[in-house]
Amino acid sequence: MLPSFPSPLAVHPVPGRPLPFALEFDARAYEHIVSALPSSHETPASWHVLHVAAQQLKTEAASAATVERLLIEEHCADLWRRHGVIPYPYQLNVVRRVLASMNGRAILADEVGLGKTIEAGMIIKEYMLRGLARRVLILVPATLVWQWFAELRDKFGLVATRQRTVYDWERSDVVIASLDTAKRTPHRDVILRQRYDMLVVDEAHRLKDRRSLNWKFVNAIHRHYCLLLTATPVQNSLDELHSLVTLLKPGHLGSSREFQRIFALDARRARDPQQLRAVLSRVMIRHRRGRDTVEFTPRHVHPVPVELTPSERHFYDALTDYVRHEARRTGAFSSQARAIRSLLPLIVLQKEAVSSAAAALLTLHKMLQGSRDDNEQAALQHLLSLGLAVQGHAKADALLELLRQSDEQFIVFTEYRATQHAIQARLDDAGIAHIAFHGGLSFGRREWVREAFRRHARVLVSTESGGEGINFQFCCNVVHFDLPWNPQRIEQRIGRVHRLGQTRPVHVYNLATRDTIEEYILYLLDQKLDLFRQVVGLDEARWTSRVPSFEAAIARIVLTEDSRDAIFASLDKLGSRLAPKANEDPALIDRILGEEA
Amino acid sequence: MTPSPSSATADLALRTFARHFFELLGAPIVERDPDLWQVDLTPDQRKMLEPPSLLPLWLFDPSPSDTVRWWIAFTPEAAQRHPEAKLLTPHSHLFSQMEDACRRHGLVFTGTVWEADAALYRPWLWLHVRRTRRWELLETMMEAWGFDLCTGSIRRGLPPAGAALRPGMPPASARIERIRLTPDDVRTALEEVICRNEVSRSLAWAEAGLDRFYEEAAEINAYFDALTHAEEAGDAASLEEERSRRLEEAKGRLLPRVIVEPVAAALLYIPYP
Repeated sequence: MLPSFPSPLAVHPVPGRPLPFALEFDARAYEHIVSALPSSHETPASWHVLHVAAQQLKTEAASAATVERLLIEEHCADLWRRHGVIPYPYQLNVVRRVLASMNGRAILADEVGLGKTIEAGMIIKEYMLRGLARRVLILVPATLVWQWFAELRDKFGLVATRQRTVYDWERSDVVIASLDTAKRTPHRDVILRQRYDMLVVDEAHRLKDRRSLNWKFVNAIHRHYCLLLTATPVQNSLDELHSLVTLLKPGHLGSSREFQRIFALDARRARDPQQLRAVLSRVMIRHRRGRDTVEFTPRHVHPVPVELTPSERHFYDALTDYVRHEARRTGAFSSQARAIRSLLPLIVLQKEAVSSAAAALLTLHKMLQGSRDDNEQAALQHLLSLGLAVQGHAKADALLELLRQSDEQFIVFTEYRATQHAIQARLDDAGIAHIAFHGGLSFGRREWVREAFRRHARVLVSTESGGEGINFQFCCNVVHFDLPWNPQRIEQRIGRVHRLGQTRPVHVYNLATRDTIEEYILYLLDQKLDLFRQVVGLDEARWTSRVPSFEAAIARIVLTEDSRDAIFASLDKLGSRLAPKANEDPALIDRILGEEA
Repeated sequence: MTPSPSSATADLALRTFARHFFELLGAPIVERDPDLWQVDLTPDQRKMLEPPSLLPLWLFDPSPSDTVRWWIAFTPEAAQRHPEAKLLTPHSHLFSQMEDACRRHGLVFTGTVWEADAALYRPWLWLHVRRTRRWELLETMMEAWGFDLCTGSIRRGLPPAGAALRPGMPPASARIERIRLTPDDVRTALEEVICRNEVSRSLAWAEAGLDRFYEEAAEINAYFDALTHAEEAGDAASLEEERSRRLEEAKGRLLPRVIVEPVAAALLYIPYP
């Protein structure tokens, strides 16, 4: 109803008739403009005319935006090009469906690896561009807060606030926070006082139980639109699905009893899958890998065992003795996680030594400069002399041999700049055209390097595992000269070439030195967890819930087990903890709905 | 695909805007091809588009001390032709930067329509507003309204322009009529005239929005009624609280609204006979 105005100018549009709409006047914008007027005496007309023209253009373009014509496609085009984001048609269709037929409330239940985060980012941005959303709360597992922050910043130009203090909830329009933090006081009380335009919950299978604190908390948050992201909307029972849908649209599946009566045959079977599918299609979108989404070319993994040269072996063994000695001295064998973590820099030394002596020498030199202990200085001096005496570079030889067997292009990844230089020197000697890529390059320079590699070089030597934004689909060979600690970085490395646009099978070569820490890491990642062959990416939240620090877990094994057999046995146990459990059936929902692959 | 005449017009308007913008900035434009321009920007000109103070500290990119060259593409195809080209469309990031620069310098304007012998000037406030109909979707349009600040009469249409319009107040020798309307009066008048305008048009969009709201409200009510009778979840008071919260959310999502956003204003002194 139009309020009655005190102004003498008031003329009621239709006296006595309520309006079928509410009028919202942007008082903040009006006050800002009115308060700026007195200072505008010197403003030239041309800027004002241009400002009005810009608003006119923007408005006309917005009025031309339809469900088919999304605003993000134009707005994010530059960002996506710069960051190598390919907006897949099925992802853009998700935005259209959420916008047109779901009224901003959806369970995004794509299989792992199909980019649910990107889809959610697209929806958030589209809603913001259309003026439908301003305040957005994103609740995720603590380990994913940074990843969400970086994705929104890099791929959508949204600078969100990562919640750290109780004041952050009200400080920014877009806040990313851990669900576990958000649901506790005092944060909970502050959040429940807010009015959010959009609420996004990642890993939403944590809301499957209606009696849980998580569910009750999320249910109580005031929002207009809501996105729930999970690849496993049902893990054990159909009732979990009812819980999720009720968060979005209470009543859509009826009450819990009605749902059981109408839709469920038992806990894991639908009475009429087709009927359930039809009802769910109004609130849930699920894509599976295949012809309509993402279909990757085959990936072949080739282990390349490398035997260290005698002097490299001597250096590595001396380093290992030193690390074990330090472990005993500092009590790391006491199994205290903190003590083990304090030894990680020393274990990195071992990894550097199997990458190249040059990489380890740099670290040793720095340690020596920082050391105040005479005994430690003597030990480090001894290691330095062994490192300087290293003859040959077994891995570089293996790489050259690999390159000789093919005439295709290769990307060689290493963790260390010193190793990068060593590889480049060997490629120079062998007369192989190469170019270097590292994290310090500007975006423009990265593009230049990419083009130079595509047109002129045979080998790209990169220290940047992510290589964010730069993709090399024209190349199909990846060499892990050394292995990163973080398994996710393996996928980031391979993902530079093994993505949409790659037309040939991809070959991954893992150079691993025998009887070193590298061999153990490779055993765990390749043979136990099969990470190199998976194209779906890691479920990082699941990993970190079981092994908070992958590095610390490996370090503990390597430092505490005496024999090679004992190390492998412990790695087997660690692998079993990390592998998916039998009752985690990501495809249960597909079976319930009768959509088995 | 052949562009429609309306999209061709929009494209021309965008190019005209871009040309005027860079001319005003003092940055020379070289047309590399019809859809790809090259613009050289001095550090000061670049700051107009990328003010460092607006960047968070961790994104701060120190501006180069030399002139930088930008490539501006008007089509995605042209953007592909140069690896560093910036796409310029009304929804592109570059357009947002240009829009911000225009807003900083031209949000408001004070001017006088000069007339040699005019002895009396009357102040008018011209408001450019964005009017948005919001239900499940949005429909947006721009319009301009002039308010005679002495009598309260309202005129719809663009403000006077041309060579006679000069920045600043009328000459000191001329008399200016006293302003009788407050900003609140202007706001009220604007709200009313827009409501009247809406009512005179088709209200089918608003009625469709209301229907959707009633439909969803019925679903919510049925759900909570069932819960209350079955006593499945919690006590009655908390259920009622949740029911009203859900209905409130549905209102926010679906109830039809007309949103009025003032985007620019000009205080113009017009000679009065």
